[in-house]
Amino acid sequence: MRRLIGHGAAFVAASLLVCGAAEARGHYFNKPGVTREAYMADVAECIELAGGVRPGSVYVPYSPNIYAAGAGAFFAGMMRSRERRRLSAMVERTCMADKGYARYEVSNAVLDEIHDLPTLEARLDRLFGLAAAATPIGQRIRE
Amino acid sequence: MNMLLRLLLLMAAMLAAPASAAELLRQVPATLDPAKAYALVEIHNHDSGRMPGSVVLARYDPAGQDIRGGARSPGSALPRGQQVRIAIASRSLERRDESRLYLVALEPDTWVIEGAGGTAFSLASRTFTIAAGEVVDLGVLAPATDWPEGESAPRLTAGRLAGLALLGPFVRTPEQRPAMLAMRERAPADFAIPAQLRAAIVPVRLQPGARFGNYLGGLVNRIDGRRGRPDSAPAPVQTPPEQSEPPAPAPAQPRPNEPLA
Repeated sequence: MRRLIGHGAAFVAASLLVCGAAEARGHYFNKPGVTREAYMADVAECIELAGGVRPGSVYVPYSPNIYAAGAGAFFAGMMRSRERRRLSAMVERTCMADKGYARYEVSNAVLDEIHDLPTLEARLDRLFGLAAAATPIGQRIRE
Repeated sequence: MNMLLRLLLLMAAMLAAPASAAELLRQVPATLDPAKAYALVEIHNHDSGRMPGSVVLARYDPAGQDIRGGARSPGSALPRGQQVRIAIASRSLERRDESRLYLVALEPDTWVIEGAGGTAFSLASRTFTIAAGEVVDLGVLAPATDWPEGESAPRLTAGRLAGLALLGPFVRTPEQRPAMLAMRERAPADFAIPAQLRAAIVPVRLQPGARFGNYLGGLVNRIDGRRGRPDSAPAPVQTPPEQSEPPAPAPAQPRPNEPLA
């Protein structure tokens, strides 16, 4: 069960990092010398805390027009979703920093390299290599 | 008709008086309920500004290391109708411009300072155990934003204000930062303990290191903020890339309470 949770957490962590490939830059967390078990446990706990985020509801003015009401609900949902992502990311960053991890920018080339690895296990190995590296690559960025 | 009226009255009574409830008291009761426990706490305004500070207390399961009934401790859930947490944000005993004094009637149990200012102190908080008939003074709590690595509150410029007015929620807003809570013992300049409670006050034993899930729905932090982090935490970034203005000097924060045990 614990192994399953660890794998799930690792998958989400890997997905988070690789999802960054769609944007200009991504980031990863580094703590030199961290063991794989400790890293997985830390990521799992931070993801659990980030999962508790519940953004407040967005006010949508009443409209008797069904199309206007639908459009209002659509944009309200979009804004709420954006807020949830922002809060979750901040919880994850605060939690990982609290556990001693520093955040580094990762270039698109490295993201592409990870993305192109053939298996999930290989991606996790590469990600863990970045997380535990004694000399992290990329520029240190704020928490 | 009579039956319906009785039913309505019964429902109203059930809603008005839950089976067991923590509550904020506007006045010190003439006689303290021996079945209840009481906590006195002074809360300063958030960031020493104009907004009153708020603090959430919750019942804690030390064995399960979670809020009672939480995901890590489902077996410790309270019976239906009992509140697991209380938000201290209104109904003050006394007030000044910069702080408010509250008296809270609690169920005898282990309580944790769950959060303040919309942040849950899930990473490390403090608990206290209180028995029936006891009155404790939690001291003076000052919620503040835990700015990281040289950041400070963004200045509300005319351009930002115009952007907010024109674009509303689509304008790029600064990132939210978690709150922290500075704790200290009551000093002579603070609110005095009400005379009726002075004799009943017992020393509070604050235990550090309580961890729990994020049930307040917002950000998370340690109660002491980043300065309470273990020594293994990374050093702050020296040159923040997005810093555009020199940071304002941070207000002096009192040292947190050490556990009295």
